[in-house]
Amino acid sequence: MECREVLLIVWKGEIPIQFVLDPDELSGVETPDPFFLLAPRITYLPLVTEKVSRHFHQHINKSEDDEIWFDYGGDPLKWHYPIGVLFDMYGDPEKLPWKITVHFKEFPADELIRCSNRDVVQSYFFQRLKEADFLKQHKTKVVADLVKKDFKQVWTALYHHKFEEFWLINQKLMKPIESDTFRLIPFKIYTPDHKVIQASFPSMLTENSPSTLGDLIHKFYPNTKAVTGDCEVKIHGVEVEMHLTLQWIATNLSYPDNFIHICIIDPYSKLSVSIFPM
Amino acid sequence: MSVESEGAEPAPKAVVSNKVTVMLKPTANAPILKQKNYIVERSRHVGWISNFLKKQIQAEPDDQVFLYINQCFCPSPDQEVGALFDLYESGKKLVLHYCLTPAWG
Repeated sequence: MECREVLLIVWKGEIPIQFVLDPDELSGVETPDPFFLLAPRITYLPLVTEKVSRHFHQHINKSEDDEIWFDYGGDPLKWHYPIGVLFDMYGDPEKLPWKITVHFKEFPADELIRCSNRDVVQSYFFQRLKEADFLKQHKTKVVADLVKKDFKQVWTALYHHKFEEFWLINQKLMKPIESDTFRLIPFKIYTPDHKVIQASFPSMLTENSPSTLGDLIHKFYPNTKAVTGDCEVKIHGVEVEMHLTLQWIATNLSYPDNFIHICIIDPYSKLSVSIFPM
Repeated sequence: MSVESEGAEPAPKAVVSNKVTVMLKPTANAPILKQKNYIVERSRHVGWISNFLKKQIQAEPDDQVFLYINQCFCPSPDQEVGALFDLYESGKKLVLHYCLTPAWG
C-alpha cells in the first residue's frame, strides 16, 4: 500500500542549484549573472533548464551545433538520471546551492546521450516506465492498458510537477497484479565510482519472506563498506533502513519512472575531493 | 541474511563468460540481416549495438534505429548488454527486435 505522507515528501524534495556559464565559452567581457533554481529531485535536468539555456545562450558565440550540457567538478551530468540521483552522486549536502557549470560547446557525445528537445526526455521516460512495468508484472499489461491520454497525463504531471494528477494514474502502475507483491523489483544502484548496477531481484525470497533493502545491498554490493556502516545508502538523499522491504520501498520511494534509484555514497571519497579540489 | 540460499540467483560461476549471445530480429519492414546471432562482450553498451546494426543494414547516418526488448520497450543506449542479458534473456539469447520507425511506442 502507498503511504501518502511519504509519497508527498518524496514528490516535494528539491535541490537549490546555482548555474554558471563555463567562462571559456563567454563571448563578451561581461560575465552573466548566475542562474538560481529550486529543482525538484524527481525530475530531469532538461525539463527545468529551458530558462537556464535562454539566460546564458545570449552570452556565447552561437553556432548551429550548440547543445546545452552540464558538469559538476569536471563530471558531465547525465540528463537521463533524475536530478536527485545526480545530486546524491556528485553533490554535497553541506555545500548548497549546488554549483553546476553550463556548457553549449564540445558536447561530450561519448559520455552523454544527446537531448535535442523535451520529446527525447518523454520518450526515454516512457521506455523506463514500460521496462519497470515489465519487471514488476512480467507483462506490460498495466502499461498496455494505459490509454494514450493516461500516459500524457503522467508525463504532463511530471513536467508541471503536479502530485495529484501524477498519482491518479501512477497508482495503477503500483498495484501488483496476480499476487500481493511485484514479481521483480525495478532498481538501479549507483556506486561511489559512478557505476550503475541493474539486475534481477525478487520481491519475495521465499513464500513468506519478503526481500529487504539489506538483502539487495548484500547481494549486489557485497564488498561494500555499506555493510560495515562506512558508506551511506541513500534514496532521495535520505539514509534508508536496511530492514525495509523492497516491496514497500518500490511502492513508496520509487522515482516517477517506477524504478528505485539507490545511491551508495562513500563520504571519504567525497571528502578527498573537497580537500584536493580539481 | 539468507539471500544466497533463495531467490533469483545468477548462473553458476562455471558458466559465467564475459560474452553473451545477442539475436537481432527485424520488424516493421526493417532490412533483414544475413546473420542473426552475434556473440557480444557483456560490457558493450546498447549504443554500440545500434551503431553496429546501422553499419550492417547500411543505414544512412541520419537514420534512427530502434531496438526493443520483449517487443515492448527500448533499452537505454548506456545499458550494458550483459546486464540486459541477465534480466531479459530467453533461450540463452538476448533477443532484440529492430526497426527504423518506432514499432511498439
